[in-house]
Amino acid sequence: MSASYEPANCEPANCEPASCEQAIVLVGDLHARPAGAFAVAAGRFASAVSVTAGGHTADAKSVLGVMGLGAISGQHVTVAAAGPDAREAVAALIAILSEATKVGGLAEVVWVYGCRLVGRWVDC
Amino acid sequence: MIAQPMSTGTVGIVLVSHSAELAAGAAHLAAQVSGGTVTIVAAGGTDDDDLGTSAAKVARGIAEAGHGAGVVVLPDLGSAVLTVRAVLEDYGEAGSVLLADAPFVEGAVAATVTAAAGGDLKAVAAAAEEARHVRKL
Repeated sequence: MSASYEPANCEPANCEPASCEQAIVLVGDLHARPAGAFAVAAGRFASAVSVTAGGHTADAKSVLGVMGLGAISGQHVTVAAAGPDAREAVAALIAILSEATKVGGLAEVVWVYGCRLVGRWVDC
Repeated sequence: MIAQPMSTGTVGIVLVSHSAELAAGAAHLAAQVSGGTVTIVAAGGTDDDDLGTSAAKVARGIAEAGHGAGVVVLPDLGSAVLTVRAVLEDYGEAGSVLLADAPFVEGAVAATVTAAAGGDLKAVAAAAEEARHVRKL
């Protein structure tokens, strides 16, 4: 199970009219801070952006909606965008999901429990 | 009071609670979730930090948060609204300050994230007010 750092798999033909989507498997839970980083980034794009996990879809620009998905490690998450910067939005947000769930998860575990995160496992 | 690094151009947030600890805690949480780029001022408790609200703290908070693109003020309970309204009547720049009718913690987080993304005054206030419609279960 590995995170994708590649740009969104969005061929030009698939982007007309400007829309794009890509899925990844989360490497960490989508807690408050990674959800915040995700929503802040989504809010900077002009395109409408949605995020889907576990059969539920939220506005990617709504941090409460994103947190409300309760997306956890190992879950498939799809980011979809429609608008003038859809491709850039999906690429950026997939990268953030990859990074933020990993970094945010580590920081959160260390901060809250004083435990060490080894790979995907907590070592207390 | 907790003030995050000043960031010109973004909307500032003032959290008005009857409890100094509650305002400070909500400000800390909102700053962590939003990445720390938005000015968030906690205006909680009375002047001697008892439970209650302080017009002086609210006025200072608005002044401190008001160096960007306006200020959104979030009150925790109804009577905090009275204090904020009294301050706004004297403030003279009501157009650059909006009082949001929102759940305190969720509204603070949603407003701050939208401010961090560059949302304008209306968008930040709307994000706070939409918080009451977002289910967490």
